[in-house]
Amino acid sequence: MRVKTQQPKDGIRSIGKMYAWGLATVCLLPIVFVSSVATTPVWQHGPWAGGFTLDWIIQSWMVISPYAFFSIKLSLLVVMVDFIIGIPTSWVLARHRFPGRDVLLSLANVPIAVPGIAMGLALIITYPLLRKSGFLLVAGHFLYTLPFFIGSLTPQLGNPSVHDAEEVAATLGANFPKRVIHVIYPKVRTSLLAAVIMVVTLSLGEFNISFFLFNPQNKPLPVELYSAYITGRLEMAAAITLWFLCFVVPAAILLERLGGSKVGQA
Amino acid sequence: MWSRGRLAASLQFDRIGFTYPGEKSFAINNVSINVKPSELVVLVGPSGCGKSTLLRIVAGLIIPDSGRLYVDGEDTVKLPPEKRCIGWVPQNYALFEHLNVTDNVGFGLRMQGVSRPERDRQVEEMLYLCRISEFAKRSVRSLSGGQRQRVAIARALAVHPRVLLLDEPLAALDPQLRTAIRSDLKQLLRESGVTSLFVTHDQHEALAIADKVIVLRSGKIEQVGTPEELWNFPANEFVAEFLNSAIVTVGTAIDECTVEFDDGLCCRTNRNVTSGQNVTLAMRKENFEISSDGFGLKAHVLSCEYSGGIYQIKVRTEKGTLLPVTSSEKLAVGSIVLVNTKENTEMAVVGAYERSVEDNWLQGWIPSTRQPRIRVSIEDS
Amino acid sequence: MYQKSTNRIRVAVLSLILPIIFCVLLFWPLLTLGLQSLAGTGGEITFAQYREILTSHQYFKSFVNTFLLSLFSTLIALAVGIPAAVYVEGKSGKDRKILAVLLTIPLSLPGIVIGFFIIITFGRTGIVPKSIELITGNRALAFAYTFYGMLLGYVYFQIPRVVLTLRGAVSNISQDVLDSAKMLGASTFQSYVYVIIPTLKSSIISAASLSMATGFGAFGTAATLSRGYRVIPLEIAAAFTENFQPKLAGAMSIILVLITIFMLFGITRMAELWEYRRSGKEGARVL
Repeated sequence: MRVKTQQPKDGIRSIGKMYAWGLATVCLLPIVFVSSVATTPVWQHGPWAGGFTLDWIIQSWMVISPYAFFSIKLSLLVVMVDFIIGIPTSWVLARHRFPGRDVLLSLANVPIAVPGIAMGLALIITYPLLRKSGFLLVAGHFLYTLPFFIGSLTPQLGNPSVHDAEEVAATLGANFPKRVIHVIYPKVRTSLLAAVIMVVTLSLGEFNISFFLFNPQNKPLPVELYSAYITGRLEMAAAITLWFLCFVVPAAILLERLGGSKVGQA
Repeated sequence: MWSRGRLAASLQFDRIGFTYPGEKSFAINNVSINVKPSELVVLVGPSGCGKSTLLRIVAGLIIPDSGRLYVDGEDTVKLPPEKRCIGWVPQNYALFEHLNVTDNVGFGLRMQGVSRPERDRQVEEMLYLCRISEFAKRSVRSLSGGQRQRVAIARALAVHPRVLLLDEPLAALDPQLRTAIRSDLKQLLRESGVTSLFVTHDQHEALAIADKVIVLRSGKIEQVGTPEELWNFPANEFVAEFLNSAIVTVGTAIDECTVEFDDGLCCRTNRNVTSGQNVTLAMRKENFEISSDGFGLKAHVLSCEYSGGIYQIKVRTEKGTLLPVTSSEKLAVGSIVLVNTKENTEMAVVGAYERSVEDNWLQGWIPSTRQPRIRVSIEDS
Repeated sequence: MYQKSTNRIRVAVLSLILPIIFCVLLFWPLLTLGLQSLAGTGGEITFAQYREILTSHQYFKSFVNTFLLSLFSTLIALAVGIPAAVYVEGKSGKDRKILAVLLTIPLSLPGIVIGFFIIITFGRTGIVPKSIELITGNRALAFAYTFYGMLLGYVYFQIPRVVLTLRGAVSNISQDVLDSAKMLGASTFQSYVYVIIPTLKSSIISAASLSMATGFGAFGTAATLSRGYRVIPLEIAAAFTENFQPKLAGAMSIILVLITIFMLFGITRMAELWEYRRSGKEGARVL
């Protein structure tokens, strides 16, 4: 029978642990609060005074479902555009050295430096006629998500092990399409998935740009969320938020598991 | 002793035991060691034998499950590392990259609140002792391996520790530098007079610089003694093979000081044996030669490696015994040679000896009556 | 494998896709924004909008407010984020993985949701004031719509980003270095001040610059929480959607973009210069 080992008190570790758990609690308590508000009939009377109810939750779904579906459609569209533009750019950044490569890399990260409202305003002032079509919305989301897409994909594409495996395959006689399917794709699959999830999550939660670029036919979920906050009832707003979290939180957890990381807008 | 203000300490491990959480087997298994003040003790053993763990226990970075640790007679198992005043030189030196050499060396003094002028003076002395004065203002990032090592040691010595712990300090250096730096290091540790505990997996290092060698395997002590004692009187097969790079074989004693092994090879032993008994021998290349006079055992060459002026050869006899031998000429692999023991050589006998235990801390041995009596004892502890 | 010339053409074509698209969608619109903001009613170039902004008391106050919010939220986030990052990225502790996931979840939340969290917790009918009311009879700590409420929202927003940025650098601090500091007598506080923070310096600076830049551009949080406390993004939105002054909004946007770009790149550059000057004076002495 072994006695449980005690280890020397590590101040650095203890403090760090305290702060980390403190932060985690602070970050997650609000979600608990929101759930309690969303399930109380009348919040003014106090938490769950009057029982636990799912009414708000059901009602809110009926309100937001068109917007939720629109947001999902939008994010998938954005993923497609990111694919079309991002994959070639990632490829050329990862595989080739050429004069101006650093410039291209910095360019890809420029949207991070530009606040969302500035991007939205600029787009709408420049292409006012396109507003109705929703094209600007896609463009805005695309600009916002591209740096993260490229940042997630390029390191993996540039990974020496991928390149080496590809060269071996080439010496064994595989042509380019075959190499992509059998060698490159399996190796970058996880990063690609993480990038897609990242783009979807970012797009679902994007507000600053959408605020300027939306119109009643094309209204993303966060904009509806905002109106609920400003004008709606607290319980309804909480219920809508809960639905929003249902979409976004599992994706974020999945993303962290896959090793991805990202930053969103304020 | 140079250690200003603090005399070098003695160190005792009393039945220390430790298992890493989650592991089933012991990392350290009932180890008891006695270290005298100013002694340079080397812990040597294969990877995973627990030598670094033992070092961390002295440092206070690990608390053992059982047993006690005495530094200068005080039980320090519960004392936190910051308060132990023990110098620590980890394997990759762990210098503070954002500081220059002077600030690295003076770090401990600064933590203790020593005033700037006093601190500068002590650091200057230390830099001089370790012969790195010319790097005083340089960033540590620009130093070579050997220089970093000296900075790490200077940093540890600057606080006048009672004990100095070094975890494989030469492992990170280029092989060709190691021998030169090794003797520098030994001289430095001697001059400073601090009690040193040195960990290495290189047996040549251990034999070269230690006052006392402790051989560890799987958390247990295999043998303790001076380098000469361990070389000439290995306590068991492991010590003979690991420390001495010997090949161990069993033979039969034909009289008090001769043993016959393999198919008729005989050799004198370096201590008395009982006739007729089986004797374990540690065969080294110094014991053998390629026979030129027609006497010897037929063996065929397994490998022949050049090592600067001489060839290291391994042969296998007809009975299957491997023998190490050297030759000044190259021999083809697979060729047949005659191998015999050298004229005046004595082969080391492997085996545990009767122990004279004066107290719990002592691990010593008494050789046969043929040799003058050598006993390891504690003078005044 | 490939002919050098076709390779070069291919690379050239591929590498130009992004710049062209960006020109159409980003640079040209920003340029248009800038040009429009400089255009007077008669078509001449004028700095009237900029003058109006820079001399207006209201807008000046907004700038100051935005700056204060960004600054304090950055500082607080760093103060709590550094120990947390040190723990999460450390070697021991079974709960580190869970913590890493928990601390990343808020990253995906937009500012408006964070604003709502603050409302729920510290609003007039928020949980904390209500609980305090239950206990003491007086409602207290209902500060959601004040500066402190917004500050809290900004801090909540900045923390996961700061922790994430720091985690990479923390993994480079070896346990041996921390152990060595301990053996030399450093207490926990000393280890932080003399070893951990100096080693993390460049990462802290880049986390700070990202944090300041994001703070300036923050819109959602402010939009949800503000009842009178003005920040620049809110002014921009108001100028455009309520007051129908696109040129004013445009000018403010240009100023904002210049500020955020400065924050992102300027802070790092300034820190480098300062470091260079300091170490230049005293040789290689860095501490």
